[in-house]
Amino acid sequence: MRKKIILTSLLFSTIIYSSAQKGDVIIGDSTIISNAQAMEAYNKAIEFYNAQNYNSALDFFNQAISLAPEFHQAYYNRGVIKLEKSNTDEAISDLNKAIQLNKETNATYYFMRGKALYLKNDFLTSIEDLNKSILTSPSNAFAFYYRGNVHFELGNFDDALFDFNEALKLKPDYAYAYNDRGSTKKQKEDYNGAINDYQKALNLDPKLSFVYNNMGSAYRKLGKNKEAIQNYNEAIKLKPDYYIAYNNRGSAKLEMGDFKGAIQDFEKVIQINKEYAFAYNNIAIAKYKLKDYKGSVEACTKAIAIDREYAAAYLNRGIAKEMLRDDKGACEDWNKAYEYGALKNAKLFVEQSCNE
Amino acid sequence: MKKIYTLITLYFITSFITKAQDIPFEKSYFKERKDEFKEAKSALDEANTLYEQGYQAYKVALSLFLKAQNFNPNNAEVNYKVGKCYLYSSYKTKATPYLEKALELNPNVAQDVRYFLGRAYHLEKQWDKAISEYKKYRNTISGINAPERFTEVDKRIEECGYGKKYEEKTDDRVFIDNIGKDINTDGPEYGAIISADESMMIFTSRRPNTTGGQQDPFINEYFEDIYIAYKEKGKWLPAQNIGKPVNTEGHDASVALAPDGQKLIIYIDDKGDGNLYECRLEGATWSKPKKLDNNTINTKEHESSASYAADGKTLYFVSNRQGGLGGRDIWYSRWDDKNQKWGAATNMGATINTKYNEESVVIHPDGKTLYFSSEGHSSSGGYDIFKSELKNGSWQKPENIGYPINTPDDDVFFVISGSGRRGYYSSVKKDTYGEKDVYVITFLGPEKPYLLSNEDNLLASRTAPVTEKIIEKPVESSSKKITILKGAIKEMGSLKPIKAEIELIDVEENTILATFESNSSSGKYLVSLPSGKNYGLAVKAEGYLFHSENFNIPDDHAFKEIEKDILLQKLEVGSKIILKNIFYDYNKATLRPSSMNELDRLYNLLVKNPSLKVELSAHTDSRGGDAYNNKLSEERAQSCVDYLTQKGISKDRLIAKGYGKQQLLISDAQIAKIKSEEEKEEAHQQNRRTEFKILSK
Repeated sequence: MRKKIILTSLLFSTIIYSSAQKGDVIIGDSTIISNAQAMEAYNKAIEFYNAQNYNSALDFFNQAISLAPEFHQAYYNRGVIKLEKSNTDEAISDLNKAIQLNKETNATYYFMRGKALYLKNDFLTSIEDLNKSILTSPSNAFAFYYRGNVHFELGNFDDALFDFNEALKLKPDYAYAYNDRGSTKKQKEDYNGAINDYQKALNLDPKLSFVYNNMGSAYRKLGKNKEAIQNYNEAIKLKPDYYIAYNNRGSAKLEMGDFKGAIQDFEKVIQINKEYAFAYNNIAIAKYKLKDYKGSVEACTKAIAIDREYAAAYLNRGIAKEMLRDDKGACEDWNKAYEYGALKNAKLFVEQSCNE
Repeated sequence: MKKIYTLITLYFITSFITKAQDIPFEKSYFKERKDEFKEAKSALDEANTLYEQGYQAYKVALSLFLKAQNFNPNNAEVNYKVGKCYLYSSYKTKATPYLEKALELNPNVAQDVRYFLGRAYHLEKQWDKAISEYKKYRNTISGINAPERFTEVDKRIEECGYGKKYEEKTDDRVFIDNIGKDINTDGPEYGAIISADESMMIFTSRRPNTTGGQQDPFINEYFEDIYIAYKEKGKWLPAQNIGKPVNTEGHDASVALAPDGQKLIIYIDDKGDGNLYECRLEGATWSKPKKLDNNTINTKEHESSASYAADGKTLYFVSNRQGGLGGRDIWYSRWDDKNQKWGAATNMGATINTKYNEESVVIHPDGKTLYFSSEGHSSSGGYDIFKSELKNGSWQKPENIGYPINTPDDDVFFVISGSGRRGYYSSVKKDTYGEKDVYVITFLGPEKPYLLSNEDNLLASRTAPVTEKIIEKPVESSSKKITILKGAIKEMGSLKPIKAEIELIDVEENTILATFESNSSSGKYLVSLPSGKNYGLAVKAEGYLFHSENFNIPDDHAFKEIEKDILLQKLEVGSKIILKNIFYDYNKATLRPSSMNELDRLYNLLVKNPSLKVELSAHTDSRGGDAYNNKLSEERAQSCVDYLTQKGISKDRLIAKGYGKQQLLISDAQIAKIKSEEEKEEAHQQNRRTEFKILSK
């Protein structure tokens, strides 16, 4: 009996946003397994998987593996499910076993392990697997996409750009790749290029709130705060608890001189996530601009209570303390800002104002 | 008809009730209070006599007028005179209610009542009300003095315009604080001058402990004396009378202090002539004031304020001599080294001087910023403080330093610290201890760039957001671009203070920029080094080996204060010094021309001490091979010896030694512990050096 077994795997299993994208992974022919009992358990596992009953699927893969310890497809599939359940370490261990048992280089196995390693932030090992996968099967847009991600994380933006371009050549409706390429351009300070890509991603999928947020930030970097705010508005409309977008909108308002509006946004952030130190830091700046120096110091202190090594908050608190004539306190804060964040300006402030 | 009649009657009755009447100072109006009237009237008569003597007598007249006003608050003339006297006192803003009342009681009490009310509003920064009164007054001007009065009132109106603009742009990064009771008293303190490092302040005050303890009979105030205070650990110690021979029984007023605090210029009235005198700090005592050169600095006209340039070679001062642009002007004179006197005075010209008065000039130790007070330019009233910068050899259009420092009243005697972060001036503010007080101004400079924190979900497949890269905005420097080098010069071993000569050298140009002396009793010295030059410093004293330092300060280098005590070694066998101003071409033994000054100093030492036998040694840093380093250092030492022998020093007095990297000042292990690359490089630089050692005497 020759039967193609298809295991549908959610490639973007870790995406928190609404529209996860699906990719099909064909893992080969099961007839190579001579152990009929193992085969049966394996097929049952696939059925449960397709019915989204992952725990039962896992049970049957476990069974298949104990009956046929060389059954690499079973290891692979178990690994995929574990990855989906965010059990990354065990997933990697299964994928290691699958790769070890399989005598041929299987692009899919390497791709999946590369992805797992990427999600584990083991970028350098991840890139080796993704390279192997791409070399064996150069038409997998996802492999390019993930390698692009790894390059991005490593700060190799030119390599990331190359990979996202390849991914988009192979899969022109790849909205995520457009977003990530846009982000790569943003990191390279090509904000107009970034905005173009974000727009393309939204043309493909107008429900991607984070793309609106990213586009807003690209506009903000261009000093186009009005456009930035429009995009943050869209992001918030799609995801009303999107505190990152609120924080960014507040910053755009602040930079436009709307300090009170900015404070409203930052306070909204805190309503949603009271542990978000950035919002307290940013409130401090808005209050400073409104000449409420005491309020500014208090807000920075809250930010520091959340993150004791928050260099920017120390720098900003020092700036507010200086206006309150607390020179000693200001200097202590700037010294800490330099200690924790190696902020050049903090060192300069100390040199300029603290040598009494 | 009847109704209208009633209304008119009612109107008159009402206006009679609401409008106070001008009550004359006549017996008939105070029948019930005869005795009090007599007393008040006598005070008024006395006050009027003083009033007629002119504004110098107003202070005494004021207290008498107030007595009269207290008795009869509804006399227009008395209120007018009280207001006017206040305008000439230290408490000018008290004038307003009296002048308002005078005007209300009798709009015709004096032709200029609206002018003075305008002045009072002006001084209170009630700009619009002031302009309105000035304009109303303008409409009443007539007679032969009209053109002058028009000019004056128009200037006042213009000042209000400027003042309004400055107040709108108030710099809230400037703080003005009373310097405190260790300097200020209930009497007046003013004319504060400071050393560049703010460790010393000299000012003028009128106090009961004035030398001779007498009051000036013309103004009924103590004679001015000069006081001195020192700052320790950031705090001013109580001020002391600077004593004789600086202070005399007459008026003695502080004018200028050299940046190193070793020279002082004072003002002596000289029976109305007004001259500048100089005192030097000799050890712990100030020398007797010596009149600055006649005809160049002092003339028979009036000379008042002055300021020394940091190199001591230019003196800026104020004089109303002929040849100026009108009133008091700022002039400068250059020191003539050859004739050892100040050269002819030159007017600063129309960019700085106006047809109005300029006063209290200060040149910052950077030599590029001039501060002065002027009644002209864009003053917001009285004297305002202005700043002009020297760019490409010419002084730029003066800029009003704005509110809150400048006020509608006279803002004078402003001085600024070497760092540029603090200024000092005198003012009467709400928290005064009495009369004028010395205030310290803190300049925080341009707003410091803050840091927003943001992040985005840049990668679609990642949950974790990516924090936005921190881009630090450039900080505009608020400080002056100079380095202040200070400390004490002492004998090595005994640490006895030494009076030494400090030569400041421009290494690239191979010229001596200035010469200073350390104080003989404290050994203290202070040198200002404006950024943008490679400085050599040579410290010399009789019987000691000279000491050299090098400070290469780039153009954009912000303010820095370096404290460095210099220990001089006696001319003894075994004594050695590092010659910090000897420079070779890169990886070569060729001496750069910039080394000549240092080698010439060595040459002079050898000529002066003909029995000295010395070793000149060169050292490399620890990088590179031994053979190479030894050879290079040997050749370098030989270059120095060759230079000296070519100048005529006998070969048998000089030994050249190349130690390569055998005698490192800072070991590799120490360098490995240094954090920044820059500091590591500096350590290597210290190891690469040329030394000079006395072998026999």
